[in-house]
Amino acid sequence: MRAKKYVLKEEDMPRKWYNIMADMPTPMEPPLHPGTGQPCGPQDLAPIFPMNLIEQEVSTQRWIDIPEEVLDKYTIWRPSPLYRAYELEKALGTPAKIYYKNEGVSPAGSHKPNTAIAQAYYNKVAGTKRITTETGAGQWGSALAMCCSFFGIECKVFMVKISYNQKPYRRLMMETWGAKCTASPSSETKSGRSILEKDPDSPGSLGMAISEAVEVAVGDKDTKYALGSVLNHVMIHQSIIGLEAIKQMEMAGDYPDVIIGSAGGGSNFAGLAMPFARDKINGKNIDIIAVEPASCPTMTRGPFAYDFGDTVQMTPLLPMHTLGHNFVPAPIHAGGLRYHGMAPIVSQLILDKIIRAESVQQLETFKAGVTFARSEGFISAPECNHAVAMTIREALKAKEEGKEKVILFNWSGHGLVDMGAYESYFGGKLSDHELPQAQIDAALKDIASLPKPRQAT
Amino acid sequence: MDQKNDALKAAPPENEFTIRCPRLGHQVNFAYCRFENLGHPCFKTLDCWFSYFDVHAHFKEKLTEEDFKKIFLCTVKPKIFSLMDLIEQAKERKDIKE
Repeated sequence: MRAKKYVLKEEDMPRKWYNIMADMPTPMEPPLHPGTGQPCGPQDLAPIFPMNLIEQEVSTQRWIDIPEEVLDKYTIWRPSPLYRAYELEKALGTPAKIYYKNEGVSPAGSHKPNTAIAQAYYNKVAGTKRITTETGAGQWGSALAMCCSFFGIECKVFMVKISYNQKPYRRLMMETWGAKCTASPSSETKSGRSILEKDPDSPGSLGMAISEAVEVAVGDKDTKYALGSVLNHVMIHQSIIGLEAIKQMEMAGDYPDVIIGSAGGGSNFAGLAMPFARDKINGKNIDIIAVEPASCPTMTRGPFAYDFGDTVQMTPLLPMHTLGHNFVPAPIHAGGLRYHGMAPIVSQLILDKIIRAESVQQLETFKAGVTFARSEGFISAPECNHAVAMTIREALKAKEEGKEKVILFNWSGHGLVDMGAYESYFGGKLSDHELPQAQIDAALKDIASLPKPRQAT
Repeated sequence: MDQKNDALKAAPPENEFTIRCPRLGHQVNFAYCRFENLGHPCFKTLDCWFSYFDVHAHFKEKLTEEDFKKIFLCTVKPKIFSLMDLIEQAKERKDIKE
């Protein structure tokens, strides 16, 4: 019988996380504090994060020991299996060998617990009694709820009210794991009350929910806040995905030519890709692709530049991808793209040509998700479908070229509590629209005079 | 629906038409995006809806120039800075409370 899954033994699970900050071809430029203009220091974040996590946030140490207590909890779903996608290969008629790392096997159904468990642990060590967070659809909130329960920490989740009403199953998952889930805006915080005074029927927003979660953390010495993406320590914790995959690819007797991950905030992509990016930095020839939605692009449609937080160019400077600081006429709008929330590490590695970014339209992602479900069986979360779609593109390209490429992608989570999006797809309620290149070019002219990071020539 | 690259419609889609919100991670209709920010549009509304109708012209007409700039031009900071801002705001609220 051919091997479908490559499963590591628990004792073979990596004992250290990998931190690519140690190997960045271009060292990251530190963010400057908006108030002082000086590099941000640990104390700036101390009111909401424990110092042990802040130390990881700024660490340039290559390997960071995974505490035994975290490893012990990881064994509930880790090592996660690596699959060979024989049926997908057959459906595509491709000579490519496709592998995927199944992160949907965690109890919460996604890669998110990889960092939630670490954050819960470090908070426990630091004496935190309660962790607050915000959540939309609930993928992050449910992951944190589960992990807090493992360490006996109270978990308070402010769930955006529209999501609270629309996604009852995620809310119930959080409550099952013992979290207190409150619809935001709520009457429990000053910021929530002030919103409700103005609009008692407010459907809430992620911004409101974050404000409430941070307010609770700042107001109580025993409470801290946790974030599930973007920040460096999150990327470090997720590196276990790629570290396991390296061992599993060895078991399979292959090494990937192409690595693919969907990139929203960057954590699942970085988790798989960064350990392989290290190999690439050291000379391996790998094509590493971060995939994002074409409808809300962050990485694929702008050069890397210092960006300004306001139109008078006074507020924070941080190197990131951008389309410009001024408004660009319709239908393109660049204002939000630069703040879409991509991890700065991922942006820098694009600039350094270690990874590249691609975008896919939503119809292509759902078509790919359906192809994957009907061949491999698993129903992907909509974000995960971006990686599936790019994998199919690469596999078909290999078919055209007659090359037996080895493709590895991160299957970051299942979509079993997200079937509404599939219903919209099957009901013909989704559409795509291409943005004309001329309008993109016009947008890029807008930033010609902006200062660039010193490495961007 | 097929991919389109023809002229954009002028009017917003009906409320039954939903798109995936990249921030929340589920489907929302235009009405939500339009009022998400304390009764004002979400700062990403133009990014997310540009391919469905002429959302820029729509808000140019509906909003004052000042509000338009405030919402769409002076928007969100990188995560690390927005967290610092929120910490400061929360401290201020705490001081007032005390």
